[in-house]
Amino acid sequence: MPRVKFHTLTEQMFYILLCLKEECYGMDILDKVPEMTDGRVNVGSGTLYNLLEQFLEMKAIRETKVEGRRRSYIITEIGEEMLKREYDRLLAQAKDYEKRCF
Amino acid sequence: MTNVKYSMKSYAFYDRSGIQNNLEKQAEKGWLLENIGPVFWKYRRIEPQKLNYSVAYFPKASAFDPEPQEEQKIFIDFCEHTGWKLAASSGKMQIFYNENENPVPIETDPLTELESIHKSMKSTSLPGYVVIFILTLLVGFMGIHEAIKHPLDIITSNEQILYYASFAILFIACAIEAGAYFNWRRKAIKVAESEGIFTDTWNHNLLTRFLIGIVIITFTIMLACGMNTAEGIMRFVSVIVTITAIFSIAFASYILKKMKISTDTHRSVYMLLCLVIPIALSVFAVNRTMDIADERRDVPVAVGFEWSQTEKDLPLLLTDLAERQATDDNSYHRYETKNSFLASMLEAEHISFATPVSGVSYRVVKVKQNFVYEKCLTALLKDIDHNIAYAIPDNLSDEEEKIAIEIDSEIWGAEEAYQLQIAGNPHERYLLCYDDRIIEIDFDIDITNEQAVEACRILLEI
Repeated sequence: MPRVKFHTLTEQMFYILLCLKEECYGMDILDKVPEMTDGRVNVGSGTLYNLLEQFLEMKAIRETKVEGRRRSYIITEIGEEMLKREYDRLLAQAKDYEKRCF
Repeated sequence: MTNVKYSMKSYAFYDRSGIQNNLEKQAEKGWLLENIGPVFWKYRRIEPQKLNYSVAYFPKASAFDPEPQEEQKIFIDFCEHTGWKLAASSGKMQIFYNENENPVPIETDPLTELESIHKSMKSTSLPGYVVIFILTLLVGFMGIHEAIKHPLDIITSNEQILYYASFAILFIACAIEAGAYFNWRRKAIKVAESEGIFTDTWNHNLLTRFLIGIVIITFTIMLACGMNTAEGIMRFVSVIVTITAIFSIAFASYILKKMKISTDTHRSVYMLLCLVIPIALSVFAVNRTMDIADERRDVPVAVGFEWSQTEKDLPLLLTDLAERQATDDNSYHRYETKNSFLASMLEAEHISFATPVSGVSYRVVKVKQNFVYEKCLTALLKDIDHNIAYAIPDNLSDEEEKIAIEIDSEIWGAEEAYQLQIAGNPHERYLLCYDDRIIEIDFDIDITNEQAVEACRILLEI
């Protein structure tokens, strides 16, 4: 079944939004995500560019600073809600797992 | 040893897997992509090495941009941050290479990548497919109309057959390209959603090259076949005009880009050139073709058919039928031949204006392939009243006005014979079917049966 856009987040979407809990340059997200996940998750530069565009479009993030071509962003309330919803979903999944397996 | 090489671009716009694989092989051979032209890709010699290539699509970019837009530069900065260097770009297609062994791919989300590809396709290749579909369908409908109305014109002309065949192949090539894209996209979306991976594009480069090659060969043969007629020359000139127009516009666009003209100005000038260059070249081509046709009239060529200068070239003359004086001063003659691998047709008439006016006209269709015999016969029967509308009374219904009546074929030595009947009155026009040919002959002269049969015998010897 096709995934409804941003109803559930991919790992990459999740970590991009998580990075933007603090104001951050777009390009820095490329380094922060692997750091945050011990190299388990990588975001491609093209994917990051496109996702930032889409998040901006749906007002999940906003631009805070423009220095030449360097732009920084921060998460908005909409983004926070999306992140929380995904966190709750993952938590529910984990609880279901625990109930069955432990 | 040259340090630069060019290769012809032959990959579908969206075929990122095919392009990447090819460029990686080129790098192993010591060639690095440097520039993407409208027709050729330019490579620079490097030390043979293993490079990773990635084709990325940036839908906001335009082929009219003098240089990457600000947003595109941000995209390029992002890529450079992860070790991807821009090798070359062409409109929305950006090709990067990376010297690291296992770089993080530029695209790590297949659905986002598919969306970028599709957005880019919507303003590049897909409109092109639509234009080709409309053009080939238009030519196809014209061909069907022509095949219904005048089947003999197509059956007896290699040019016509090849002309329609080349458009049919172009339609198939385009359908394969467009079909392959939508089929791949459908599957790729499914796989991306269920497994989260990108489905490699299907490399159908060879098939496309093969089909385009056939179109070019077919078109070239068609043009070569028609070089002895003014229609053929006109068609040849049209093709040259089209190719010249395409290259002129592409070259002008290249110069404008080099001059770093703004995107909007470049686009406007491009549109203007698309309008002006084809019109200017067409006017030139029409004038030139008319000049050529005029020059060729002195030698035996006229518009639409091979032309005979003297009545002596006609296989059957009025003088073969009766003791008449038909000199150049008081007679008219026409001689036309057409030929194809299916059938050939000779059409001629000889009219004397000496009182009383008399004439003979005939068509001889030599059938080379049996399967078109019936088609030729049906076409001739259907068209048996051609050029004699003057003899048909206005108040007759379609059923009454002309009928081909089957008559005794024995005296003609034919397998079947028909005679035209108008409003119940027999007309001296016959259709005679032989083993390998069909003869239609019209006598506008008083002759005996023996003379008529003799005329037919002459036409059987052609």
